[in-house]
Amino acid sequence: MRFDCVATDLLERCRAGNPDALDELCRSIQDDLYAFILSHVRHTDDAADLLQECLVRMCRSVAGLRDLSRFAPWIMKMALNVCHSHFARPSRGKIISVEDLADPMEPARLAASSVQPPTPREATAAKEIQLFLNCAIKELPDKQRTAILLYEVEQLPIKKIAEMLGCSDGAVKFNLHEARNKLRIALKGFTSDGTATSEVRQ
Amino acid sequence: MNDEHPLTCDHVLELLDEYRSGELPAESQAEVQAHLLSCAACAAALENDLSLGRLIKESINSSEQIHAPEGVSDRVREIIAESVASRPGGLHRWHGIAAVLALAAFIGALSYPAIQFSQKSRDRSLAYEKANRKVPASAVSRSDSTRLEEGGEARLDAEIKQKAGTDLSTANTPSGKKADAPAYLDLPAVVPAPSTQTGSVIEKDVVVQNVGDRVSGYYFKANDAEQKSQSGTINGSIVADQASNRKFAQPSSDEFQAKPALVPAATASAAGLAKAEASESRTDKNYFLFSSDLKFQDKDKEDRKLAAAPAAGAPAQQPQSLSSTELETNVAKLRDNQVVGGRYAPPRSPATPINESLTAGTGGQSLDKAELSIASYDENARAINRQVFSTEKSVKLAPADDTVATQSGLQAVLSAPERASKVQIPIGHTESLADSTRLAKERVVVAAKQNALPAQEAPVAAKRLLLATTAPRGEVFQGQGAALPSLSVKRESLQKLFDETSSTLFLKKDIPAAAEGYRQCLTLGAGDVVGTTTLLALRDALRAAGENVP
Repeated sequence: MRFDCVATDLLERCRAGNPDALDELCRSIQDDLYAFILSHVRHTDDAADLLQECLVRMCRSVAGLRDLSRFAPWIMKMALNVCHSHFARPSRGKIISVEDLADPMEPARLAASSVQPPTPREATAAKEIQLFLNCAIKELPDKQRTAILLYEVEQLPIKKIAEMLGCSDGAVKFNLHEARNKLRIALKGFTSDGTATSEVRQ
Repeated sequence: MNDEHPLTCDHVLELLDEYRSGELPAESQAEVQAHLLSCAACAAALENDLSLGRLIKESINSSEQIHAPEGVSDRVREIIAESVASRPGGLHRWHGIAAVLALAAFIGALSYPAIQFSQKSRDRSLAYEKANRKVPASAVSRSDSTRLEEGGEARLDAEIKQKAGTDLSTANTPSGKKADAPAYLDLPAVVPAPSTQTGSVIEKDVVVQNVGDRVSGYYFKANDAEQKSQSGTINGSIVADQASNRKFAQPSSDEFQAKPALVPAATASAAGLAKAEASESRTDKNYFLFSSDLKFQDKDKEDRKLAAAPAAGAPAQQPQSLSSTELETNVAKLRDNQVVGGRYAPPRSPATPINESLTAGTGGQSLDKAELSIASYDENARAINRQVFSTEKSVKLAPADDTVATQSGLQAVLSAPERASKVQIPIGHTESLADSTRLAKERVVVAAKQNALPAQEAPVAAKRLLLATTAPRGEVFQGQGAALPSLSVKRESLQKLFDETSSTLFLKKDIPAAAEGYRQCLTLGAGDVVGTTTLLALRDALRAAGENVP
């Protein structure tokens, strides 16, 4: 799980209010936290803003963290709250840019890659699927989106997800089931090779 | 679980999530695994879940490749340091909140008498204006009406009658004559002379008199019925409305492009500006363009807004028929890119004969002002289309009949999809942008359902139609097709297809794959998105590399 690598003594120093320790903690978790937030908001600029907000919140409230062994779920819960606040804001309807998320045609990676690169059609189709999927994930209700991302991306067990969301295991499984159904409906028109059918395009 | 109670498919499907994450007890895990090996349906369900999970994970890349933006930690440190520095040592947060509440209460107590005084003043103004029928019912808010109906009107009328005479002069509304709409921004008319103009505009520091003069930063001062002075500034130039014999301040074209505010003629006054900005006034035939940075310094903002509302029962401005001489004058002005009837006329293509388009647009009927405006507007719209999309000559369409023009354009798309990029369809300014978009989409979807158009071509045709429909209003410059999300997605895809093809050619040097990509670009109409010239450049590069591409 992310954030498990944070040393206890570092957290102790942070809790004592040591500014250098806070700085070190921020640097050690910022990449993981950014990836976690990005997986939820799916927009690099928004994710950068929310990362900063989350780190500031963490620095201000880490002194109140009683059980240091529960730092990982604590910070993830905090990040989830920040993301939910972001989605609740009126400016939610932003256009997602898939270019922010991946650029498979990057020259350096192309040169280093020994795998046969995709044809233009394949690459375009893959990006189209990503775009549809991103839109569909963003359209999911908060609980369903959180459940599916924590399970599939963070690979957290059902029990931990239930703990973080404050609900039962059954509720998590229900949310997973609903989220999958909605995503499948969103991707229904894509064939196995990734090309979109006319239904999707329309 | 045991052999007496074997797992059913429903049970296994319920346990799949725990099975995947390894949360089941070892015995149950083994039983589920055994069931999956024997049941193809459940195995397929598991594979389905796994593939969807892979897709979700791939869609955001792997976490190893994601790095937080640089400098975030530094900014966080600065924020924390600032917040610590700005927080006084012993002061608790609640102390600050309490202080703010106390301050708010203090300000409220101080401002209560002023609010009461302002309310009284407004009551008087409303009663007076209602008595003189200057305020339409819609301009009086519910609270105002309620207050007036609750016995306050008679009292206020009595007060007003007592104080009438010198204070509330009826110089501009003599002997019960209905007052005209205030002319705060109207300059003195050319004919008749300013001295006879209703509204008694008083000029101060105004040096502009002729059409074309610049009016940047000049102050206009006018008197209304209540002798309340108004002043304002405007940047632009003076234009003439030949039909109504009035001159108006017209913002310069660069201001219009930067931040236009369309103001209907009925509310083309200083006070009506805010109301007009919020309203959809595109359907109004007589609108004027004002710079949105107008600033007014008024003594009483509320009174100004009420006074600026059009007088109840005031005659609406009717379009007048033009004589042949006036018509020729207007045509000449159109040719010189001047404004006729308050419309902004973008530069036309010099090669376009205006007389031809006018004749074609009206079917040989007599031209009045409105028809002239429509014809010139659509002519200009097509000129913009030509400049934006293509250098090819566009399909000739009837400019004055929007419905016919749209149907003609659709027919052209259906009959010759390969020429669709050259079809520009002017949609009338009487339709709003939303209506145009909806109609365009509906028409293409209907055509696709009737198999008149191949289904895969429908989005492309719809996009072209949309671009064409939005072009006449200039929105094309602000983002082609952005009004329709699905078409926007399609547009992005075409752009990416072109990018991939370019990369395949120039970075990977895979000529056959690039040629295939180019053919797809050509088939899907990527030239509309990336530009025909750009696509042709790619074609030339491929030909230079030895590929025989169309």
